[in-house]
Amino acid sequence: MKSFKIFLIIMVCTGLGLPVFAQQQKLTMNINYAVNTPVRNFKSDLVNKTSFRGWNANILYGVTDKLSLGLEAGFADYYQKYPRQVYDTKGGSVSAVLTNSIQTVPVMIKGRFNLAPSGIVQPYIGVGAGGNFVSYNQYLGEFASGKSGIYFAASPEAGIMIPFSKHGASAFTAGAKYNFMPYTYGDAKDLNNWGVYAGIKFSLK
Amino acid sequence: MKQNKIYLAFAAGVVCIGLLGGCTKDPLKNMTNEESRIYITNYDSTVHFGSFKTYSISDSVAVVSNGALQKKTLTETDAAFIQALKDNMQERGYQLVTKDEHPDLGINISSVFNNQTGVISYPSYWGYYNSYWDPYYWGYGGYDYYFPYASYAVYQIREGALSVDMVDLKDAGNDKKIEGVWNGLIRGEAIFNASTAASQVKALFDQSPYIRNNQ
Repeated sequence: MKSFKIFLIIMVCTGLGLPVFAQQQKLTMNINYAVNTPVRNFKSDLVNKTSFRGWNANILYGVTDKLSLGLEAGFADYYQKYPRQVYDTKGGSVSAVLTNSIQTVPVMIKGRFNLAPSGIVQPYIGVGAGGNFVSYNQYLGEFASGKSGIYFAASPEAGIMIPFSKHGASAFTAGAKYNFMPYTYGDAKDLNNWGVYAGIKFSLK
Repeated sequence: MKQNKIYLAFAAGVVCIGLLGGCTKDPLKNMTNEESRIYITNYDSTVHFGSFKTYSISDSVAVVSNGALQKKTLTETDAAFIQALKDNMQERGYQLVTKDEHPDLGINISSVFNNQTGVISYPSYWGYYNSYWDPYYWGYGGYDYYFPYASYAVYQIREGALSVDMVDLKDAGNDKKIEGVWNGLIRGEAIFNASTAASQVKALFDQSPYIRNNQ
């Protein structure tokens, strides 16, 4: 957590001192299709399948030519069905097909730092931090139990932008991010995952 | 022009959310009837099932709705469940006798329906057990049932449940109590089906290896 704060502060300080170029004061929107893969406890105890049902979108304001700040929202749907198995209970057993269904919707404050704003290919790094709306349902057969709520989320990322024209704000974007998502319920200790995404960025202003 | 772009972005966002959010994989729509079913068994771990030799089984199924006995039926499906229980008990080494021959074990079957708030409490099921299966049926008028393993279970309910209760008749007599020693509960879609009765009852017995006379 501390490292995220330091990273964000460095990004802001560095960005504010940089010269002004074409991206400054532009409001842009970036919409991406996202694929997310659970890691750690999330992968070992809940879902080990990659989710191909995800997206993220952000609206960023160009504070300088390199630094943009704004908001980001995302969505990922995780699903896994385990074959029928007998589970021991306090006074007996339950035989069931177990299904885990998890949806995450992070809404974060976002900062993105363009490492080469005048390049044909513009690499960037970024970070977002904020709330994460989690819906978790575990089904024994057709009978569900679970816990939904708002939790913390943070997402460092790295990616590239390839502008469609030399001075335009529209661009193809692709990147990867690590989603740090603490969550506790039953066997679940976190919903950490890493993801890749690709989409387009265009100017709103 | 600027406003158009903002509208375009908003529309793109809405479409994105609609398309991908709508693609959430619904567990209930990706489940067969067989997968929807759960088999729950509870038993008294202090009981030695090898000490029982004979059993008798009720000649019909009690239909219990919202905690009250509606009727007792013997449909084709009811008969299939009764026969499946007989087959599994025989396979485990127990001898079927009539209820007049002082069986060691009694087996009652109930179809449980609950139209209330989607929640079912099994202690209340056992709390009214005397009214579904009067101990008089087993020749023990004035006795009460006692289920030492009853635990509270709350689930969302969409269909009924089939409950099989095994009670200890051999040791009834001292304290006017008939102890429940085992309960099997089947819940899920399309459970009341004669063609799947055998496999459903077998699932209950497969996860209850301790029910065995010839051990």
